[in-house]
Amino acid sequence: MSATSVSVEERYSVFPFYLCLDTSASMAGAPIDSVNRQMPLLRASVGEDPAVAEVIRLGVVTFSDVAHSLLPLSDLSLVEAVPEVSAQGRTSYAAAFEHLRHVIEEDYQRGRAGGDRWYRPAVIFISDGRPTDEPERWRSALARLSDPGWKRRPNILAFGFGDADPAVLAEVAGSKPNRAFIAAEGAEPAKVVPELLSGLIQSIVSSSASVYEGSAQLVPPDVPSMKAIPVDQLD
Amino acid sequence: MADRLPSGLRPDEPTAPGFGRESRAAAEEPRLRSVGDAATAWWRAEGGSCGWCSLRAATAAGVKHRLSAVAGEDSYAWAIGDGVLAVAVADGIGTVAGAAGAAERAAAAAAGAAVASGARDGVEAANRAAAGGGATTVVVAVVDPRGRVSAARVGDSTALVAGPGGRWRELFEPPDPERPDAVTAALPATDPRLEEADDHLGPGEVLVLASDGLADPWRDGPTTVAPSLAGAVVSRPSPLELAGLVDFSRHGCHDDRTAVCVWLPGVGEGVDPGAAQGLHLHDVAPSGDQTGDEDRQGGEEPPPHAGADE
Repeated sequence: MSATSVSVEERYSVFPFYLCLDTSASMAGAPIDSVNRQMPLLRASVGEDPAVAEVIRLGVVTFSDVAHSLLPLSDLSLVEAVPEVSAQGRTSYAAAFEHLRHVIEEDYQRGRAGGDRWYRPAVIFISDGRPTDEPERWRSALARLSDPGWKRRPNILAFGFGDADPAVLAEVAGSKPNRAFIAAEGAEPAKVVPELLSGLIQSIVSSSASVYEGSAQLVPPDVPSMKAIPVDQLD
Repeated sequence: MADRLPSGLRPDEPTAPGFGRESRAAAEEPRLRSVGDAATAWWRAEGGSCGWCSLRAATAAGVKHRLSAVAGEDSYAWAIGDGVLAVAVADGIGTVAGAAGAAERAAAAAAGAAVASGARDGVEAANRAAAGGGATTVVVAVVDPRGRVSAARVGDSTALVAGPGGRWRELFEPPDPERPDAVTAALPATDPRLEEADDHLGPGEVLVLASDGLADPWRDGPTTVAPSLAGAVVSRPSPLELAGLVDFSRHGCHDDRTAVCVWLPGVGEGVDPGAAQGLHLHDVAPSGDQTGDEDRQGGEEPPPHAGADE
């Protein structure tokens, strides 16, 4: 390469994760209580490995009728406490996808200005229900979030329980193998959610650690009470 | 990972330089491995000179490995032949068991074969050697007393040339900065994604073979890491000084780092002035132009062990 093509910008690698959590009314009770108990553990688990903590950035997005950032994309070692979540409203997937598209781009631009160099962001999407939006609306929002022409498009892991639709979750995860998971039939949300969050903590830590092992990977979580949704083959 | 060590066991002062935004993790005291020996030491350095060249090699296990009490997975080797020197760096793929062994075998095989029959043969020998378990990248270069460099690689280990004033160039195509999570090619492979490049060391220039743990922050630190290291290596540091240099602290840079540096004191000083005449950093053509794209092999699927993401 010629010397003239060398960048003059300093860059520092970070691996952004967005936890996108359904907080519609049906999540009230045990599922939301579990979330509020587990979030501090995520911060503690990440903090156990300083090399991992240095590269992870975590944002928490909640959605019901609307979506908002409960925790802006943050260095967890600098976060005093993750705010608690509460449940209300319906299940607007469109609101979640539109918000994610907006904040990911905004966070990227802010980070880049500060010298951050992003690994492809990961969205961890968790829902206990079917989208209450019109299909065209949430699909349009998902298409914008997953647009191949958008360089910041995230990898999406989708997890569902309760009334969540496996086919919809597979679509959210881009119909890729080992990206969409559904709770086993009859599994109680009170059991699934703690397991899921515990698995996600390990997934985030392992994914970040993989940065130092030759190739960055999004490592799916091991959640005993959930199973991977098979991906259809095209004719 | 287990609990952190008590703060009293952490080093009071970092012994390696810091470049740009420093690493908090790099300031932590490493966790002692349950067993260890010289061959797997976290820090290794060596060097010396023959009649026409000088060599320094150093490797530092990454902060991530040191805090997890496991050995590094980079390796290096060299071989001196009849009027040529072959040097190699290999970076074991950590997600595959046996990575360190694969890197060690690949580097040794690459240097041994390249010194006899060229860099491409060095990579082919490394591919055969890597088949014994694990997976690894490799970069190998053959240098002669006139400063001619012939290099080949599979994966993201690379070759750089540093010159006076902190200037530098990379012999191979650098990775796309928009794709930091792209999967590296690796050995063993049935159809290795081989890249080749030629260059010519000018007066005062030094060839640096580097694993990605060093090359990535080198590229990402164009105003800190790159000029500092390029400026330091041209002055031919001692082996221990080189080890300290590659062990620099920088935010988010925790991979194993290896550098093998080659100096040819005679180039430009009378040994073969014709070979070096007129060659400076700014007018050496990009390596891709010199080798021709037809020499590059690509298009194969990533090896399954490196299966990562978009």
